[in-house]
Amino acid sequence: MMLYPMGNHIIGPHSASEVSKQLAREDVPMYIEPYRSYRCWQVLVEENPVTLKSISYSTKWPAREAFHATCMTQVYRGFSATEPIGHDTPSLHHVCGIYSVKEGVKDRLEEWCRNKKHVVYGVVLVWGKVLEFEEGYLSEYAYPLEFYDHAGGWDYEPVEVMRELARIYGCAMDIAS
Amino acid sequence: MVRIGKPIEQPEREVIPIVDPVPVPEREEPVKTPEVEIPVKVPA
Repeated sequence: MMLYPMGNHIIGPHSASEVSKQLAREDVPMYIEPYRSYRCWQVLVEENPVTLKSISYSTKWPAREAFHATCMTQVYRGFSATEPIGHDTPSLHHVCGIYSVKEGVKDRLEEWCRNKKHVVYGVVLVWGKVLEFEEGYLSEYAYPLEFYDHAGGWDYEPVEVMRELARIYGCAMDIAS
Repeated sequence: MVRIGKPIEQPEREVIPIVDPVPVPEREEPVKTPEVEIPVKVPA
């Protein structure tokens, strides 16, 4: 651990407040495997290829690219997603980030996607900065690992759509689990 | 948003996977060339 003199005086390029932030970061535990959790998506079935979309926002999840969190509240307040945003995501204070739930409460996903069409459930890997809650996570990055069920009304055969999603996103599909 | 309860004590983790969790881009299958039998030379 690097040691810095404490106090309010300037030391090199760092102010005392920046130094204390650095020291705090060194207490953050590090992991080398992503967390496994659960979430649901809407499927944009009319797009070619079919695409995953967030339940709460119109954000698309790109295939074979990590999905990165953006604070959507600030985007919807008139900031562009490409402009610098006032805080890092996820944020404990702002409760923003990529939402996912732990296995024990995965049935709760039904409430999240109620009254939505073309919904799929899946296991998701989350990593980067991850904030752990009692029943879920807020994360900086995420990518689907496996699709295991579907819900809501469908204009197409859902299992066929899930099979196509699994191929496009490079995921597994286990409808029986 | 889905409910995720209260933050646990010291909730922040830094997760840096040693294996990239994102699958590599899909590649088209290479075209297989048909096997050709090489004729055996028979001495005249």
